[in-house]
Amino acid sequence: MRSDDKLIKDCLSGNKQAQYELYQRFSGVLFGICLRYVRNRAEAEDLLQEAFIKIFSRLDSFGFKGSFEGWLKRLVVNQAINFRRDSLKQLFFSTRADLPETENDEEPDTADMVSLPQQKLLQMVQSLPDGYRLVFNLYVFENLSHQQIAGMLDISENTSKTQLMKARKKLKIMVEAELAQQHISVKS
Amino acid sequence: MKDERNNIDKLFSEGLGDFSPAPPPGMWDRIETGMSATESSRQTGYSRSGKIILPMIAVVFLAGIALLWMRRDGHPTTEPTAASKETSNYRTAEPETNAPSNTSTTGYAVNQTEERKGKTLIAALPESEYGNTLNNPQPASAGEIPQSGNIPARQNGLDQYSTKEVSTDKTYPAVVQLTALRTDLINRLRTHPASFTGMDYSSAFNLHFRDAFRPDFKHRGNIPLLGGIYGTWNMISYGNKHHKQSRSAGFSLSTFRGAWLLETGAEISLSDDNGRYVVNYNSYDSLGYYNKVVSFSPDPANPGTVVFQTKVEGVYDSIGHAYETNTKHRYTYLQIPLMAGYQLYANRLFSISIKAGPVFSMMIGSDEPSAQFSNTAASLESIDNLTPSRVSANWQLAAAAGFGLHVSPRLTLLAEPVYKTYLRPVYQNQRTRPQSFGIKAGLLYRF
Repeated sequence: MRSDDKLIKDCLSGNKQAQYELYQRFSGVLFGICLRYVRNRAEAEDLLQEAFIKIFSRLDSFGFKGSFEGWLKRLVVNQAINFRRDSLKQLFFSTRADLPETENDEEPDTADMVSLPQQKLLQMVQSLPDGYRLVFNLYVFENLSHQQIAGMLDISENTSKTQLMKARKKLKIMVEAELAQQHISVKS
Repeated sequence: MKDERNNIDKLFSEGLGDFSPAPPPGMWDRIETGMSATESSRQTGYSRSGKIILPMIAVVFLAGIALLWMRRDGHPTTEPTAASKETSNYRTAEPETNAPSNTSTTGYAVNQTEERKGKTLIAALPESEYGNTLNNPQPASAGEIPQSGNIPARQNGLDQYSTKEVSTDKTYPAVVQLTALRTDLINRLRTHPASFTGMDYSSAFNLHFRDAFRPDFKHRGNIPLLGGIYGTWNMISYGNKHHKQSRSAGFSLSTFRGAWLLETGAEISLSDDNGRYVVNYNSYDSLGYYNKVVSFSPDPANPGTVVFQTKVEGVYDSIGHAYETNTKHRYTYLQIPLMAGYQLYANRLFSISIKAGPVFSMMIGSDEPSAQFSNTAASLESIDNLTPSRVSANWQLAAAAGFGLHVSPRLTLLAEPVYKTYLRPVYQNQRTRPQSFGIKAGLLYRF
């Protein structure tokens, strides 16, 4: 099995087998990211296709510094943002003037974490409105601050915070509904 | 607002953090197809553009031919009747000069072919009029125009027919000459582009050159041609308060019929835009501090207790950062306009015209410098390019108002405000179509 660096160099030299190996190695984790950022599987497939085309066309800009997987993930996330860039202004327009509200879930996180099937969690994320989902993903999975998210999406920090808060509320309702079916309760 | 991660965040980040589903089976084939399509579009970009340029060249070429045909076909209709008469006289004189022995039964040394030509030219005249001038030259005085059978063939030489031409002019009644002259002048003023009236003004009244549309340029061909060089400054609005400048220089070729104008040419345009990058880097940052135990010893003053000697130690770790930065990108376009125009007003010094038409624009070069990162205390992770890609070819609709200052018979200074609207968005995957407003300034030369 080739190392990442060797694999990249072979891809850069136009080796089709190496390109396929790179795809095999990283397509799973990148497809998982794509699924989180879009509404359904069909959109995720389109996004993954565009992302890999971009990965192979910009592989020469990697520079062999830092983690290659991290570079791939960032590229996919950027591609996901661009996927919605046309409608970004509209996504956040309705909440542009919103001030951050005080969350009413100030109770300590004493509840034991529950676990739900990945498919259920994914469905919940995908069912969020586009703006909520985008901010939630960037904040929770990419560990970006509201300042970074605001800069990246060209929105205000308050908008980012509001979107995150609303996303959490919606997800909490969905999680509680799911757990209610299983007769389990959770605090958040 | 609480900004920390809460249970919902943890539930999802732990549940989906390592989510790695298998992509659909045909995905690699789709990617390969997409990659080959991207490569082929890069390779065939110019040939595809050529498919657009070639029809444009064909349109310009056909328009030129149409103009030439209109010019040749329309020319006699603008000429007065008297000019046709003169032409007929010149034609009848030529063959006799070359073949003085070819004498007709009427005493004129008129070649049969040339006679047909002369009649064809005169056909537009009323029967009575041309009958008087050629077939029955009675109105001329007997001393100047020889009668049938009275002139020997050897006398039909050049000198004699030179005399005859002059004498034929004298056969016109004075009122016909004046009418013809006035018609000539009116036709000229109506059909001749007003901007060049001054240029031909002195010869417009010359009877000897009435049948030549532009006496000074009689042998230069039938299509009036204007060449120009110019520079343009444009302010392009991309929407959302995003404005950028562009500068261009080019040449134009135009022709006209009456007050109508047809213009094409080519220009090279340099357009600026912002490149948008996100720089991801790691720096060794302080996370806080702790008290490091250097040594410990039993406290002699308080038996059973231990005294710890500590010192404060900072805690550092590699922290990821990201910031967004802009760079200046420059794009080079080749633009080919095809404009139709109309001259609204003109005098000897000044003219005003309006123009409109499509402009084909094709990107022929781009300079997109990436963001630079120069922090020796940090390590660069990656630089992500968020700049939206530009389309390689576009169409614009342009409208302009031209103001010309005629500094000499052949040279005109031009100033032209130009408005353009793009028929397609400049950026891929975006819907906003830019608009531009600019000023064009240059010099026109009449060939």
